[in-house]
Amino acid sequence: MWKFIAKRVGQMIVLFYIFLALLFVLLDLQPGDISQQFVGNPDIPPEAKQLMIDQLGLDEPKHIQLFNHLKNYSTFNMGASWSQYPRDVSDILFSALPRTIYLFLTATILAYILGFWTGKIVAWKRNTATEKAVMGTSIFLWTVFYPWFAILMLWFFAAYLDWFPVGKFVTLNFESRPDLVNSISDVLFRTSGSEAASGWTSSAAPGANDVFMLLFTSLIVGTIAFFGIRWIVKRQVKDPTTQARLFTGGTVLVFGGFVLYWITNEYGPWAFDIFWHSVIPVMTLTLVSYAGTTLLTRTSMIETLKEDYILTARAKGVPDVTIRDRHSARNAMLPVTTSLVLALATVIGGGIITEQIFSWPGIGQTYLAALSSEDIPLTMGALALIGILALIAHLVADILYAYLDPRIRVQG
Amino acid sequence: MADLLTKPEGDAPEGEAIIATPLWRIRLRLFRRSFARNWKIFAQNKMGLAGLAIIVLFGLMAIAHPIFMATIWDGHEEGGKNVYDPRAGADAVIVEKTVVPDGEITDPTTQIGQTEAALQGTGLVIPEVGTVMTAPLANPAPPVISGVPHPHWLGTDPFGGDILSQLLFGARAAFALGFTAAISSVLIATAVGTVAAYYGGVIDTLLMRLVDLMILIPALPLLIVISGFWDLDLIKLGIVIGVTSGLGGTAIILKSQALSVKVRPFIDAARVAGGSDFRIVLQHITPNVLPLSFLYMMFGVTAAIFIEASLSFLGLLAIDQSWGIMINIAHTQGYTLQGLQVWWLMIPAGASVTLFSAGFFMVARAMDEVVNPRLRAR
Amino acid sequence: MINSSKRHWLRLVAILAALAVIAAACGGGDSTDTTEGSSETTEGSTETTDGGDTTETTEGGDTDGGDAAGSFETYALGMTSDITTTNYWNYIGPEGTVYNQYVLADTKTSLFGIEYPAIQVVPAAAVGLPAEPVEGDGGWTITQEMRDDMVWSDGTPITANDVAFTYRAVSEAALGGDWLSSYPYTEESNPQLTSVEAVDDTTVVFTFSDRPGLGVWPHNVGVATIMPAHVWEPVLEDALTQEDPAGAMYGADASIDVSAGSTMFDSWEEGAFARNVANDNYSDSGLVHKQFDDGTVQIGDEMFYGDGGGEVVVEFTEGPYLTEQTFSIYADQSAAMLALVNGEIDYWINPLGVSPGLREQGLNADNLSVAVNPTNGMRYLAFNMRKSPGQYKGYRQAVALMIDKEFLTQNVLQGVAFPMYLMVPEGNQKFYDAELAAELEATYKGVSEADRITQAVEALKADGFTWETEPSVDEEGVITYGVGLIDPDGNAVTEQEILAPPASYDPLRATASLWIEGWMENLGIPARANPTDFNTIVAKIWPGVGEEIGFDTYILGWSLGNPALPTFHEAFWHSRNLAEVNDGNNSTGFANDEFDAAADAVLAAQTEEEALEAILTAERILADELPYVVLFDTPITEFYSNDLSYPFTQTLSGLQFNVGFPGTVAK
Repeated sequence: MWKFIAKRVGQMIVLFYIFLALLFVLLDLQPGDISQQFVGNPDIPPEAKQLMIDQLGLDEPKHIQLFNHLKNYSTFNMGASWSQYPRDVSDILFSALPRTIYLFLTATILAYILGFWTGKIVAWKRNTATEKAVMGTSIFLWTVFYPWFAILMLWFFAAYLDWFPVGKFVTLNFESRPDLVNSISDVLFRTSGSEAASGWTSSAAPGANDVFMLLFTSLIVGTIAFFGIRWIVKRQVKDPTTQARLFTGGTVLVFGGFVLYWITNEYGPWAFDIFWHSVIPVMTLTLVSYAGTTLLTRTSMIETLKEDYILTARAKGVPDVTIRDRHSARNAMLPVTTSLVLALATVIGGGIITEQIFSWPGIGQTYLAALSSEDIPLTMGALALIGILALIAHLVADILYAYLDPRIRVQG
Repeated sequence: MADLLTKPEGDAPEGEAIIATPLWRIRLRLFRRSFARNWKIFAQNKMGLAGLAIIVLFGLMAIAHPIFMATIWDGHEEGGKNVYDPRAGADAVIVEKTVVPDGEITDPTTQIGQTEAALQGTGLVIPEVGTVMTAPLANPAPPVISGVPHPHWLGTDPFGGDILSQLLFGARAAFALGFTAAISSVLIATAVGTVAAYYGGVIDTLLMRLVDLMILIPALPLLIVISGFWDLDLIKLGIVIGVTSGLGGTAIILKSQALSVKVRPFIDAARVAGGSDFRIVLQHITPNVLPLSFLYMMFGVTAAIFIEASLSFLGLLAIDQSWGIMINIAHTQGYTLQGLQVWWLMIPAGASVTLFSAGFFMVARAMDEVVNPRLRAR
Repeated sequence: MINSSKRHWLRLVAILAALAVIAAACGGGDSTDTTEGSSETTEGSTETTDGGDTTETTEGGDTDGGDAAGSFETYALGMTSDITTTNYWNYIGPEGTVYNQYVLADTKTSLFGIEYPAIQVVPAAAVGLPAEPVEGDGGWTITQEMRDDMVWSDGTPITANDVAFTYRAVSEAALGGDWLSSYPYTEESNPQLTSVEAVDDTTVVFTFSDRPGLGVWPHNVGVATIMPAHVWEPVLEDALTQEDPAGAMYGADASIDVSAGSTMFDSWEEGAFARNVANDNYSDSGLVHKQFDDGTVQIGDEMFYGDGGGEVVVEFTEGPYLTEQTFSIYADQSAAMLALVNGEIDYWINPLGVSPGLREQGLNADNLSVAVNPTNGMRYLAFNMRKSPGQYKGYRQAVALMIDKEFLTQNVLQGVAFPMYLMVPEGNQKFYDAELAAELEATYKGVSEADRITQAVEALKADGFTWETEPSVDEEGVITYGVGLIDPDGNAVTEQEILAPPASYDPLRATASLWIEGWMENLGIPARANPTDFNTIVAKIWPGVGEEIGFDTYILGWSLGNPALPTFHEAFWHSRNLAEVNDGNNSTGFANDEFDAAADAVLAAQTEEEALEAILTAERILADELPYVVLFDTPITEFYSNDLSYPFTQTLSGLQFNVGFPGTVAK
């Protein structure tokens, strides 16, 4: 096993450098370069362009440029951005990262929990009205043209019903939010009259990224606690009724703890503002990837239900629910888990359209802006980040497969 | 899977008959038979049939476009351009738009005289100077204006283009792109999968690392980069999407399928009989992988349409007209948050992309049940 | 059973309690960690420029200002793109985006400013109008007096030393971008600014290698940014010791910076908002500006360009009346418009104007006012004059004749654009040649298709073009379109590609290209409109020095720089700026001695009259030679809250061109 991992890691590193080189070639193929940004401003003399070329080293031979990039990456340095020179690429990316992670992690976790649950039930109830309804909805959500769907969601919930804001992740001045939102915020955090009432420009306001970091840390802790309790209960309690009760209790406990934590937190009012802004994008993303998980779980369940050991269990008279949840679902989880791992890897890559439509300034928007301004280091940095995560995810998926499914033999 | 390989059931006595009947005819007969059998399974699946119906509907739309252009839409020329042209058509008959100047605020694009001229005979009240007014006759025009159907059956876009014509043309574009992408994707994935599986060793490692490399980069960001330096038309885009997706996950799936075929006895038999490697791959392994390839081809169409529409939506493609561009124009011209008020701008194009993808997806899922017996209900 | 169940319960409760303790510990730890981290980052970053202080002073300012009429708390603006830097050196340098301008431009001053809407040079930190250049040993010198009553936001006086320091920083650190035109220190500059010295606190002396024209003094050097020496001197000294001094200046922490304008930069939350606060030490607070019918501009008690005849057209008193100015960032235009309609923001500051759908939405909103203004720009069709057929004047004239701009703008583009005939837009009344425009309109406007074709055929024939099938108009006016144009050398004209941005980038130009394709084909010119990615077009037009420039025609747009003295003729068509020579902006290959002389005369002009005369000459040559066919431009439509009161709303390129009047807007 360790030999296998070591070998894979070695291959990954080589692959990553090839990937970087390929990226550089592709980006260098883009017409023109960043020094053309002065084209169109008659007031700026041609020398300005030359100065920029000298400063950024644009006229160095291509192989030297490529070598410099690769050398930089070897020392965990992504170099300086061209479009925001001399700011570090990593600095720009890390300021965008928490926003993207929060949005997509929330949606991914929600989608997988809900999707797995639905898929499990639907697979069990084939040819019923429920199955047909769920399948129809899932297929619609899975094949719906995502930008279009996102726009319609935005229109319906934000412009038409006016329940949520149109895009962005903060409302600068809390007073300009709808009264209902402010009342809720007031009840939860007693904001009225306090400094927090004036919103993000108040002197008490935290940096948005600090709130984001805390939000997703608490989210992860919550998720782990949720599954941790289930896991412990499953191992310790045999009686199904007690189990069910304990599950409910645990869920309430985790959720209550989560809410309590945030109500008492000094960042509360601002986190609430971010939360309110993230409802539509999270909902949209969740719906779409929920459909995918449902479809995948259903297929995977149906396949396992045809396995011999399930037939044996049935013949022995094991209750349906036990077969479904214990025997079948557990095995069906394998492909779903793999897909979850891979989905987590694309969390930061898949956001271009979402971030564009919902004005959510994360990695996707950074990537688009970098590409259109021909900022090669920044574009490379964004893609490299996606690539590294994808590599790690694939490794994890491979290991998981080998670990969870003994039928798969690791070959030297 | 094994369906294609089943021997013909005792028709003619063996021997002469086989010599007398050309090989292709036997193959054809085999194919027909397995097709009939598979169709029976497929036809039991309502979802698959619905998907097929949707595809046929879009097929009709695609065919309808050139017919309409040659018949009812022929001859509506203005300044040398047909107003129904999906690319360049702009119906300029409807002129007026906007504001009437008031003292301080003037609008250089509009003069009062024009407003009056445009409103004459429309039954609308000519507004007083000083009021701000929007004329309902402007583009984008709805299909029905105050009870009177518009010469453009689905209305016009913000530049006076005919929505129906664009929509029908979009179906053509979608088929062209979808099939190009799907076919090239499956060709590459099948080739890579079977070759990697059959030869193994260095070839396998090299090909699989190449696949890993492609999986590293999510399709959309990669295509955004490629569209930056390559002037992609629909066919080129289709091939690029095909190559990138064919070298991705599909290749791995087809490889594992080919691996399972490789260990079957008849491959050894073929090898013992002296078949060359190439022949074995092409004639024995590939046919057994094909049903699965075909399945992924269907999924491929969905993916390709989605990518094209997304790129068009982001304004990164320089193709003539497509559903994605229709949505992009509605979006960039600022009609998206007006929702159902301008439904003909957003709904037909978006619904078309969705339905088209859904059609192929449903067919693919139904085929999945044909290919993979364990998924069948009974 | 019961017993065992109870035991399980107890065990579970114990485990849960343990979990809760752990979670609480982790959570608590998290919270404190992050808070500490955050306070660190806040101090480190530009988050709060001496954080507490500003806020407190602002609050103080608020209560003071509460008495004054028109004062208000927040001037909430929306933008559709984020800023990229908060460092003023970087903003004038490579990061000269319009969004950086909106946030930062008001925080510095210069010797002279341009007074809108009159578009006249007026003193800011200087006393009186720009001093005349005097020839001395070692070049031409300008001795300019400065005011002694201006201070930075921290109370330090603004002196001649600041000007001299800025020059030193720019030249020694070799700063680029707009600094190169502000302080033309390089040897390539003509004339070169060789030194800037402070004689005393209120006298600064500029030395030029040659006599500067109006384009340089005052229009570049006179309006150049002045940076605070007392703040930046140590940073510069440090930067000069580094490998890349310019980079060090661009990347320096800007939270130390001070303001000379009505507002000062306060904070930036990336992707979300930027915030400026009022500068309580603003030197010109309470200063009254007036503009009269006869063109007189009055600032305080001083009158310029006239003696105050006629009525007062514009009058305003400088504030600032606001206490803070916020810029919310929306990635999507529709979202910005909705925020405006919902009253979340007061004004959407936007260089592009709004798209038709949003415009309708804005016009329908009761709480919004609209300002429509001409812009200082143009969209055009350019020929490649290095090869056939673009090299023939007759060909260019024929294409120009075929393009029906009125039909294109009014009918096809539905009135969102207006036709143009001259390079200088009509909005710039001072340099607009109404006479020439009238002549051109007589030639092109409202001409029937038959007449267009007849005239175009004549123009082509005059240059020796022939056809396979010549376009013709018979006596009844029936038009036969041409086929197969053949150039004077006897070669068939190959398919002419019209590069234009795709519909998704600019639907107007994309649509125009399709119509122009049709018109060219009617004349027998094989043409194909090719919607092409913007960067690709640019790369094809400017492939770099020494590369072959092979495009046929293209459609792009220009924004025309400083409207107070248009010097773009030299940049776009002078033979010294040919793309093949120095990658300059002269993309068409146009080289005309007479024009070069006129363009140089604009730069060398010592008076506005001389400049105007040269510009009119240049415009005439261009209208005849047609390296470009000017097509159209769009007016800029802006919406703002009814509550706001601007000093004026009718001004070239709109409210956004004056960065939204942070110093004078009232509520």
